[in-house]
Amino acid sequence: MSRNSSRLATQKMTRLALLAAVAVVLGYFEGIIIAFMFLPPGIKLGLANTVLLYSVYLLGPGYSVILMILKVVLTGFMSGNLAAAFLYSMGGGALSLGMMLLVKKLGGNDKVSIVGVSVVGAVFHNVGQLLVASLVVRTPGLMLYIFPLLISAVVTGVITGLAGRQIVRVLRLPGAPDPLSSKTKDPGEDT
Amino acid sequence: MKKRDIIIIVAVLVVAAAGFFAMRLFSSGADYVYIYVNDALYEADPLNEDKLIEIDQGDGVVNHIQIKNGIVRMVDSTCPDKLCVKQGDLSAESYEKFPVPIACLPNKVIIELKTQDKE
Repeated sequence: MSRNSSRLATQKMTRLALLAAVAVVLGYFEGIIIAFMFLPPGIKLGLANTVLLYSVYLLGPGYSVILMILKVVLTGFMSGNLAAAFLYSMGGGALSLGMMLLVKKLGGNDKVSIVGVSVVGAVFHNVGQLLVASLVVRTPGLMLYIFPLLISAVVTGVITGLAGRQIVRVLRLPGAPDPLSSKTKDPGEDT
Repeated sequence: MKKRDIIIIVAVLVVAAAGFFAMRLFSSGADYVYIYVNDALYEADPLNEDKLIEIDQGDGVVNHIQIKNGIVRMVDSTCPDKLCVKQGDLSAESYEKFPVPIACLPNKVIIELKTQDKE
């Protein structure tokens, strides 16, 4: 391993730790914000999920999967109801991350921007959580919640995507090309 | 934003709108409250008879459900998040517009409105 690539691995690892910490804090703040916004039950902003969006652009697929698992475990410990919270956020996180990676891969930066990927992530985060919830209580009727949640996912997905455009530029690895440019390759491909 | 971003957003909104429309078509005339605990039918009550139902599953897991004036609601629950209580009222009219059950996932209590099973 050359000195350059081991430095890159270290940089990616520190970004990973940073994003995991941000996910925990955002998850906590989301709970507070929702309490003041009088949103209908079940509507989430998906703030913590946005770290997955950043990592898809900054760190590539492998690190993003690790980040998703870290986020699920850490926020699970914070919520108190470990088993249930773990299942729901695992379902949401895994499906959301999988679809974001897929859309980014298929679309490429020149066809789908970070805003589109963000919307896809928000939508499938809700789909994943509802799927797990309706399996857990064996009530397929719960899936009907998806329709209002789809509308909120579009709104929050666009907002977090626009914010993500700025954040990804700031957090990009030193010397790395702009992760949002259509000429940049997937960050996972060079390691 | 790119063209495909717009396509993604419009597609999601179209699915949501179609879903709302379909839900209205498939729900009407609910007159019975069906309460499920742990995946099994716990009891079924007519929506037009006032009643207070206590579900005690032991280990301090208790839910109270109230049926009053054709409206059913979760009055209180021992679950941590209380989302079921926050879901508020379910009536035949509200269920027709938006037919989702009241669900307490931690305590596994589900309240649905249906037309009475004829069996």
